[in-house]
Amino acid sequence: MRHYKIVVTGPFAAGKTTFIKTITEIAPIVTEAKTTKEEESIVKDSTTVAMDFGRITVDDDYVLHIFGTPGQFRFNYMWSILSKDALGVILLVDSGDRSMFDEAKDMLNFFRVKTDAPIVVALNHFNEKEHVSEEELRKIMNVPDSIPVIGCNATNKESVKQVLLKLLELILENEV
Amino acid sequence: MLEGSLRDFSLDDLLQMISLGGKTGELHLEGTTPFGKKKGIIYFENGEVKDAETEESRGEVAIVELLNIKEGSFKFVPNDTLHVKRSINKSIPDLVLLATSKLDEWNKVKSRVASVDSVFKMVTDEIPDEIHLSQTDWKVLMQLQKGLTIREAALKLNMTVFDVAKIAYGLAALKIIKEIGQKNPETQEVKKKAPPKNFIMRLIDRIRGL
Repeated sequence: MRHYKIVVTGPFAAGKTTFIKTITEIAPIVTEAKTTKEEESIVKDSTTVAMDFGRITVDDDYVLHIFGTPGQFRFNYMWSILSKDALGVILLVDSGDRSMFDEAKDMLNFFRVKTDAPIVVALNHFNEKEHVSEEELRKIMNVPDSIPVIGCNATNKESVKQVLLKLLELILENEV
Repeated sequence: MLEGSLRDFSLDDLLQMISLGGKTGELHLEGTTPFGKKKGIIYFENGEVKDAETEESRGEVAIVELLNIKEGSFKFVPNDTLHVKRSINKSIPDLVLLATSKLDEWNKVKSRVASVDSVFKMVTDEIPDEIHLSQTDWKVLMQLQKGLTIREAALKLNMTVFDVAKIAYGLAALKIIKEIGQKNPETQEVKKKAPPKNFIMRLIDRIRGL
């Protein structure tokens, strides 16, 4: 059986682990540890330190692995490891957390340099927060036109599917 | 002199004609084979194959490659071949059989080595504890690990592309190397191996159905 992989990345607390949990067919493998930094522990109790892992079996021949990266820059060695040979990258950004937009921009540049694989920026809308639109985010992060920016809700399966399908469309276009 | 395209006159027909006619001379062939583009000469004496040469090989190796030319051109030049040393003692039907069996082997090799322009990388995370490699295997591995293609490694090591491809097949089966793409011989640009299109299409269907 052959396997291919997609990487889900994004700043701290963007919703990466949730995104993978929503779509994976297996119980996701998560490598979370208690947050130690004060500013991080205000946001959430635990954080991914190595990777998250989900899977979608296509058929008897193929399987897709979904790897989630840690969000913090201090774990960026994992970004390189996980993005190697990836079919594509989903950069998840919390639409209500403006403090993370600069970090998201740095991450986007990192992955653009590290991999030739197509990238989709997914703007994760947590319902109750005031959020920026896709077009605003494109301007703030200076996202080139070749990279789609689409809205999503990481807790909603249909929404997560749309992000994955957008990325797969890009992968197909890249092959032509 | 007889000259033409292998589309109009198949190689089998040519060999039969030269053999039955008891001809002596040089059959110049040029065209594409599963092992890449080939150009060479088959020397005949009284309808029997005496020797063969390509740019990289001679004797049986060369004729096996030449007999696998599917598309291309030929030129038969009636000539004295006294100066040619005999290196082939097989009949034409035996040589055709040999070429066919090599083609079968090549088709098997192609499951892991897509082309003579394939580029590989070493996979260090799945190597079993103990592997035994011959000196030739090591030489091939060292060249492929440097980023050379099958064709380039064959030239460097003075081996046939087929033999290098067979070794690469073995190394890939042992998960020591993995094909990562193909190099354009003219631009030297490596086109990374894309996932099969049908995989993406099947994945799209699968995700839609989730």
